Amino acid sequence: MTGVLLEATGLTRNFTARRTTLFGPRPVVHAVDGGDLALAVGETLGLVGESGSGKSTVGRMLAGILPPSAGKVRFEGRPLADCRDMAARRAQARRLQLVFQDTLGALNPRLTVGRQVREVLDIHAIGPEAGRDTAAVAALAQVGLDGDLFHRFPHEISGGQRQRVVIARALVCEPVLLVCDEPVSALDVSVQAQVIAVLQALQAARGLAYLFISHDLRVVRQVCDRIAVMYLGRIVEQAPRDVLFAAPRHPYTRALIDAVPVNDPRRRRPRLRLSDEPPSPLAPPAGCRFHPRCAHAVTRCTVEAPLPRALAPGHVVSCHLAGDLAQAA
Amino acid sequence: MGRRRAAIPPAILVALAWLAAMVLVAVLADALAPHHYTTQNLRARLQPPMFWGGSWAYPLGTDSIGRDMLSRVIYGIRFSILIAVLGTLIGAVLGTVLGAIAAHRRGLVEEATMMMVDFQAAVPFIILALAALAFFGNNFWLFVLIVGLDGWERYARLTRGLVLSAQDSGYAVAIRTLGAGPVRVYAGHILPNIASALVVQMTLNFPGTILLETSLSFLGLGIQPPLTSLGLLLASGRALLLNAWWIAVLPGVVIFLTTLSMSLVGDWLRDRLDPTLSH
Amino acid sequence: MLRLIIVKTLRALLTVLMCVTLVFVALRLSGDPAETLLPENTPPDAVAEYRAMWGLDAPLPVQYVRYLAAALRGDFGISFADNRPALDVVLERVPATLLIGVPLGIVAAIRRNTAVDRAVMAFAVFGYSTPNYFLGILLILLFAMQLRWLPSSGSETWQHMVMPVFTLGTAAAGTLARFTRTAMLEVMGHGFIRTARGKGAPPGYAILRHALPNAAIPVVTVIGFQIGGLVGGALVTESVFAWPGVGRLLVNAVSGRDLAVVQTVVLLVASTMVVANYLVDLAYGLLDPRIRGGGRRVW
Repeated sequence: MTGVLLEATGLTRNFTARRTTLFGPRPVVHAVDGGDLALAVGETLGLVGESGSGKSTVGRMLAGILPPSAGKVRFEGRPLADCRDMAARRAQARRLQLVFQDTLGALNPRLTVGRQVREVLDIHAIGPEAGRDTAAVAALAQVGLDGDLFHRFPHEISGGQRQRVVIARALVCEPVLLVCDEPVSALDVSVQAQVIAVLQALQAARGLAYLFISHDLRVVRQVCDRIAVMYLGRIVEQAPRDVLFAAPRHPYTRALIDAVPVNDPRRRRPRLRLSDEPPSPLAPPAGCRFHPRCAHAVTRCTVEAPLPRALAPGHVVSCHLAGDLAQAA
Repeated sequence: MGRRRAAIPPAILVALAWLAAMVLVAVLADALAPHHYTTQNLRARLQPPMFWGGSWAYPLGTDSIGRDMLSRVIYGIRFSILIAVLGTLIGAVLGTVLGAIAAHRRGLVEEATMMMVDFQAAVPFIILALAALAFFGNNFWLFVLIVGLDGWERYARLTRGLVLSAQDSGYAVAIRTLGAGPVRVYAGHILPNIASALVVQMTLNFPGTILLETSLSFLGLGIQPPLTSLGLLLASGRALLLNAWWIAVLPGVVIFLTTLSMSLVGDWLRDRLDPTLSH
Repeated sequence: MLRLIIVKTLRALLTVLMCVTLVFVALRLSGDPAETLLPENTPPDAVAEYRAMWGLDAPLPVQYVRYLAAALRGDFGISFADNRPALDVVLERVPATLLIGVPLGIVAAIRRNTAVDRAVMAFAVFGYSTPNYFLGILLILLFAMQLRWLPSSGSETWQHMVMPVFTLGTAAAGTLARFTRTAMLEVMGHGFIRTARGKGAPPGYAILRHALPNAAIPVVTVIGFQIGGLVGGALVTESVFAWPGVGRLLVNAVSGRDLAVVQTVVLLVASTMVVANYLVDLAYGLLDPRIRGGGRRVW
């Protein structure tokens, strides 16, 4: 089952911030600055980065709820539906869905959980009206939730259950791609494992594709086939999971991986330390945005932004020094 | 974390009981009043109430042309409450719709609406009401409309604020992502969530509406005879204070107790609902 | 900061413009202005002359512009000078209200949950729930008729002023007291008050120097609202006490459908109110350092 499901080229998004002076231009936040991504059918692509890296913005653009300032997104071979085209958006919603980080916020506090799952069926007129409640119960069962949760309110169930409800709601119209924005970040580790298991089971059963956005490398390592690393609005490295963890080429990726604690305290690993404070997206550094914190930066890095380069099939890096840097530094 | 049902303070219970009584009186006026409010009896003029030396025939006394005060007060309650309720509904619907449209459309529409809101908030409404009555004359339905417009700007401002924050709330974004159209988002999700705040605003506005209607009627510019209103009764009693204080005081007490009860209930509701709601 | 002032000024001006426009429209809607504005028995050629003089036979947009120009000059046959009574109403009553309302609120906040607090709050609730015409009548009944201490109508001596001022001020004082108490309580709960107390300052100092200025900010906005209520209340109170003021003038004009007076009074009062609110708005912006600094966080 191959074939490109989602593809984004030159993805850019700017926000204009509040004016702090009376005259002069309004400050612009370059949240996402020209990224290319592609996702195949049934694949899980991870999108990793710190806060402010732009990964949530990318997620929203790919899900079609935030229009890009520049660049194109194609889903199933067609451009994403325009925000104002209700019919096209509704049709697209059946194929492409979004799972949110803030589950308490994503659910209407006054409606029961079951009602909200069922509502999706009402919106898209799926199945006969009489059978929709049953279908909603079935959807809840698919994520491992008991039928009597149907009548509960969002604040009455646990965080892990809520996350599963949000997933069930997103899946009840049977999409082929699910954009998950930090789906497990707010959960305890043990509950995280449960929700991840649910996601994986659903993927196996339905051939779903996921765009998995997270800041947590450990989770991403469990779930993803390929991983893209973002820093300050740019995609700095993309590779299959095992390749990324075994042989990261971008200094930032290496720093991230090194920062993940390892179970075995005896293993000594060379640490690539990050220097300086993370800069603000309002005034990103010139050239390579990572150069102020990079131990290997040279003059070229301060003036010229590195273009993505394929070091090996499927492994793309944006660094002037990639490939020259030795494995252990 | 369940919701604790706090006990209702006794003062609120009394207030609720009074309000319920007022509604009952308004609805059952025809059955309760011993006479019609215009029936005159010139031989029984200026009779005092029964607790002030009068007789059972006229429990609350009579006025200068022998009309039974009890009946007049009962029907006064009916008219005043009727107009206040109708007015509140008009104002609430109009204000809510305008506020929702402003929040939905943004831009110029929103600016224009907010300017109108500012204007209404700045100028004491009674002045505008008087101007309207002067320009367009005074018929009953125009009067109801004018009374209804009192305070619409509070609903508009409230609705706009609540809809704006609801639009950004997780569930509104979520349900839109799931494919819902604007009607379903507003009617099915946003409105029910702000309804309770609107109801509280209605109870907070209601005393003002009654006061507006009674004030205008007191000035002779509201309800016109032969209809009656509590404000009209007060006005007719003003000149007779020395001889027949009950004609003015009794309707006044009724108004006072009603607005007081409504204020207390409104405050209590607002505190229960959300202590951070502003006045 | 400057930007804030400019925006607010523009909005105030636009609001006044809107008011004038509304009156203009209402006047046109309620019939031929020449006929409605002139007394009943004016002979037809006088009406025609009036119409020509005021340019009422010109097309509507031209009329509107002329009307605006006239409004700016205050030229309705009643001059701006006559508006002083309206200002006087406001200026007379506001201090009394402030003097009663704010201290009561502070006292209630300090003695929170004691008998004093409850008493003050009860007074406040009663104060703003009582219709002012009713309160006025009760006061007349008690002080003028039973006790004969004060006169019940007219405006010659200071004794004439006591009851009307008290009637008008009670509702506003009640709301102010309540609001001041809430604002004070909120401020007093903040950390910096405890710090001030902890530094060993006498309790009154903490309140005056720290709590009050911060509580003043929301209280100022409420005062702004109250001004409008006072003007509206004055209308009715003046009728109760037969006090010769702008309120009575307006009421009589409305009864007699004397639209020239109505138009003028409404415009003048409305503009005064918009200006007053605008000033309060500005004051609020100046008092609150958070807004003054262009929205940057102060702490």
